[in-house]
Amino acid sequence: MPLRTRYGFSYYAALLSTVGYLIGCSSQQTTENSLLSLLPQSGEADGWSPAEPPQHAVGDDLFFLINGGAEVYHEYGFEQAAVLSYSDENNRSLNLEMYEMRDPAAAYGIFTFKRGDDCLSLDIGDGSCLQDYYLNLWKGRFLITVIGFDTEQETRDGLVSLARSAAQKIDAVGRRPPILAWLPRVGLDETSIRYMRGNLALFRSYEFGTGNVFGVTEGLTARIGEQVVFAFQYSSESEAARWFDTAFEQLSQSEKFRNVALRDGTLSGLDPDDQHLVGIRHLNCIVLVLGDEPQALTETLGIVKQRISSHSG
Amino acid sequence: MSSNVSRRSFIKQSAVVGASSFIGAGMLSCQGGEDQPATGEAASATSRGPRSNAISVVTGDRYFDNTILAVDQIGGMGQFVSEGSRVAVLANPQRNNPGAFTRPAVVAAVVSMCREAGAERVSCLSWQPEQNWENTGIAEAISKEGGELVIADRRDESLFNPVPIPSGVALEEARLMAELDNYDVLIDVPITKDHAGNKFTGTLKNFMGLNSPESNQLFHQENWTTDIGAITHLEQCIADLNTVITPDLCVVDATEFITTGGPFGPGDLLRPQKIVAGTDRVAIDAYCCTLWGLAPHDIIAIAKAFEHGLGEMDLSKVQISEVQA
Repeated sequence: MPLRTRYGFSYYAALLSTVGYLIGCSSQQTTENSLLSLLPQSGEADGWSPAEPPQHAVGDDLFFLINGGAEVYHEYGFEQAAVLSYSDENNRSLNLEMYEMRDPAAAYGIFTFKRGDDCLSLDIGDGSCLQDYYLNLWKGRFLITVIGFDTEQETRDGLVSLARSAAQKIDAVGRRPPILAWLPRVGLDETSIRYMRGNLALFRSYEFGTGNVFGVTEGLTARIGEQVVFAFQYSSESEAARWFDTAFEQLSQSEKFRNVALRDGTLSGLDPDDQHLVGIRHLNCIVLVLGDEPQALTETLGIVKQRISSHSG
Repeated sequence: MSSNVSRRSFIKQSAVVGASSFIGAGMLSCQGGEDQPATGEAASATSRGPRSNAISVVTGDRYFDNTILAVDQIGGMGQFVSEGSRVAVLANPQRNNPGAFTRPAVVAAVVSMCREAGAERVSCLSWQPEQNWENTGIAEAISKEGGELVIADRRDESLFNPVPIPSGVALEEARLMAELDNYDVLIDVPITKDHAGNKFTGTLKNFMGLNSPESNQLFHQENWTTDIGAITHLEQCIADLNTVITPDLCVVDATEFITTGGPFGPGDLLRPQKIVAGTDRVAIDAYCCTLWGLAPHDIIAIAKAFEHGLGEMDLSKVQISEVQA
């Protein structure tokens, strides 16, 4: 069995030592101090207490903490993280990870990246999702993940309790990125929304190809009924036009996509699963819809286009 | 096998000897000197065990026993470990999140088999913090079976030897744990699971656990660029790294693992309850990725490793022995 000893004095000594070091440094490290102070302490989360000193990473050092998992956090905009284990009087254990991201949109983005499709939304923080053995939430610039080791009710109660405790210590409130307004409301599967800030998040959602097909710096994907919508925003209309041309070229040369064509500004083709893909460039955006019925895809494309127009400058 | 006369190295190309010290159980000292290959010397990478692309797969929930059965199916640990051998084991203790680390029972079974085969010393080598080994339960499990934990300070580059990669496409040099030179046999014991960048990790990628973290960062593009080119670069580096490390045996934990949220988790869990053993790491990874619907040719590291001639990725050419236990 894993050793999950209560650290008692040594835990607090380590924590104080870390905090003391941080206080003595720059203003940015005052923020680090703040992160550690946001971790729930004994007596704050229904019997859950820290079982070990927190592990902490700033900037590139996230690699040391979570190795290859670091890349996607950096893609969204990562500042610092702390991870630690908790235990209760029944020797049950939970892990808690707290990530401070560059801004609320980054926190929301990594939240959407990490949550699964079939999760239960709870009223914690600015958004939260409970799954069978773990819970993700975001609040302000923070992402919090609480992880259990089984799916028993006591464990799931603990996930919620620890998550609430951590969220309560964060004063800030975050707002979802404005581009979410582009999505049609009818048929939208909220838990399928993935907000992206780069190619890796897109790659993990859907593989358009092995090149840099869309040059994503900001975008989203979501299921609308049986369809999947992709929308990417660029710095200017000319930039969007350039990437639209690039995407057409790459999809045309792709071994996976077939019948790729561009007619009257509308891109179309068939993906490896014989799903129809249609796409347009509109203002400084590219919008694509994937699904079975070409006519329905075109209708969805029109709705998204209209919503982009109504929410643009 | 006498360690002084016929010690095999896992490193094909030479390593510059570095004075090193290790922290962890026993505060070991790593020795340089005559037992280290000299610069420019090509060390043997010939494996003592059977080299074939045959792999064995055992399915069931008795993980310790099934690990032994999986190795027995390919000839038993005696094929790989002889009396007096010093065995290095590379497990994955990344984090104790479910499905993110090698199951302790699997590592314990490997250690137990090595000891029974007469190994003088069985060590789990790592630069991961000792806390990870304790939290995952692996430290306790290997200790009970007579194994030990040898941890290099990940921030001390002097504990890692530079190793040129002559056939490297993206990576010119690895920096492998110097401690590795003190062992005769290398057993790769990863968990197969999801990875954020390349969607899959298994035997090939696990060797980043022997390469210094500073060197590993070179596998990732500058400023954490994450376009597909960066993913290809990472995967090519993994394949390149594998050209200078030859495991004698691979034993993969595919009992329960994350198929999303990797490599750290949490994520969706899949429970194939399988232990996979063999000597062809490419074939093993090719098999393991199919457990959750991935195609071997879509996993860039597998394809690149195949191009390097490190193993077979076409599963129709692999002899797969499956047992339900």
